[in-house]
Amino acid sequence: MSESAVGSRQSAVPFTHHLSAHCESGVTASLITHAGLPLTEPRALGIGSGLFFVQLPMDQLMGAPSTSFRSKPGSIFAKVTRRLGVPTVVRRYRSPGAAHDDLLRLVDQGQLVALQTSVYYLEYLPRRFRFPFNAHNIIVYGRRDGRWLVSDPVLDQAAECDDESMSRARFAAGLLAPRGKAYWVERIADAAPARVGDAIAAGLRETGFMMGHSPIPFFGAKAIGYLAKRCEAWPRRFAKEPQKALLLLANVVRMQEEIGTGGAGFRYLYAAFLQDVADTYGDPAYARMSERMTAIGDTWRKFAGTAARLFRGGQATPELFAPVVAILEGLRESERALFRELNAHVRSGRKALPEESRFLPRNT
Amino acid sequence: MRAEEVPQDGAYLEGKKRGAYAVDANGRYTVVATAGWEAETAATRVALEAADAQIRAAFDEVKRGAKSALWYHLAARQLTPAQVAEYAGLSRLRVWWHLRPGPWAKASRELVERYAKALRIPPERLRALPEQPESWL
Repeated sequence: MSESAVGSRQSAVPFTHHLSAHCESGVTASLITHAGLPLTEPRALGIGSGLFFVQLPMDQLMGAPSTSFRSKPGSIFAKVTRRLGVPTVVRRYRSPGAAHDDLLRLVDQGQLVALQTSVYYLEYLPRRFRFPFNAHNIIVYGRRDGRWLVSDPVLDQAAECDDESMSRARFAAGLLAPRGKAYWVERIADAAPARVGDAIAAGLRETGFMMGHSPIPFFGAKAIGYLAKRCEAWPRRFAKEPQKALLLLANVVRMQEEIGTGGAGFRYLYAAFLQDVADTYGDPAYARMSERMTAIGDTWRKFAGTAARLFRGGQATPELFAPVVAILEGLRESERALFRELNAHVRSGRKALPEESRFLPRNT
Repeated sequence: MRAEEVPQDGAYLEGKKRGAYAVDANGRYTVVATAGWEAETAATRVALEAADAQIRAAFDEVKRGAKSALWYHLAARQLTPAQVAEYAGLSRLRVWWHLRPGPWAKASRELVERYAKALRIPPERLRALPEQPESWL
């Protein structure tokens, strides 16, 4: 642990906290907006290809659920800044002391710094959500009375965190250990606003391809079908302990809703992005895809609602699980069709982007 | 989902709010503050109950004398022996050794303090079991 405290000196970067749905896209949008290029959260998610689906062939991965509705932690920030050509700094530290001193120096210089942390040690979060998950992103924008001023994008208000908890959160052990990771945007390159249109196209293409065409059955829309298959087997596999079958199903719902996805496992956020793309490009095809994405999101919510009735019942039989499995199979088909179409549409329409609207970020 | 349909019936956010995306009256997507959703609360509850079952099982094992009190305190904090080894700066083998009742009873005061610092509990509590297993619910 760090010996030096935060100190009673005050300093704060002039910064407005915004409520976001998801930590990483929220942090990315805030950092880039603060540096001078207005960027909304749906855009950060879309450009960074944050929407994904993963189902790995095991029940749990070091105690964590093996289902994910998102791409690899850290990739949204990396892809957004790369696609926009924004120079960044990413640092990891060997010791909490060095990480603390560097943060202190940066904050006093007026730099907005994002950190990778473990939710387990962030005491301002609700108690029941503080499970050991190591890839939560927050922004530190100042210090006051020996405490860090924290903007946690998933909460509606800014928070404070004491130094000891912060050090622990930054140096938590286990899966995806943050190792003190701190990152920030250096400046916005002059060419960045002009690259927004191409960056959006790159983000759309990658998501469309990975979701619709992934050759590996554990990734993309195919993996939803794979999850359906696994889900169908749980009541039989755990015939003697229905609680275990329900726990595995609950883990899927938790990844979809609880961890801060904006609802329906990022599907609503992505629909918001597609709506934005329709306006930016002036292409109504994206507006129609946005509506289909919303319908898919509603189906995911229906899946969660149906599963919740099973949790309350406490029983797990193949008959009870059948409706849940059927919804997942339907989702596999609708997502696969939509993302294939999205990929094909972006590829065919790349040269036809209207020049003037490419430079204007909307609703900032 | 429409903005006015965003559920506000979660029980686990403790009065805090977080963001959800929904369509407003003009058909535009906006971010809406939500107090949570009861379907999600039901899922979280299943996971918390599973954690509680683990804690109770560890409690019983310690009571039976099969494991040391350290085993219970790890379970109560949902930490793995490997994580504690890293936090306390000890080898995994040593942590495994201290999960046995005999070696844990003989562990030196300095060693127990090291674990206590890593787990953030007073050293005297770390030596013994609480009266009741703790709960995450």
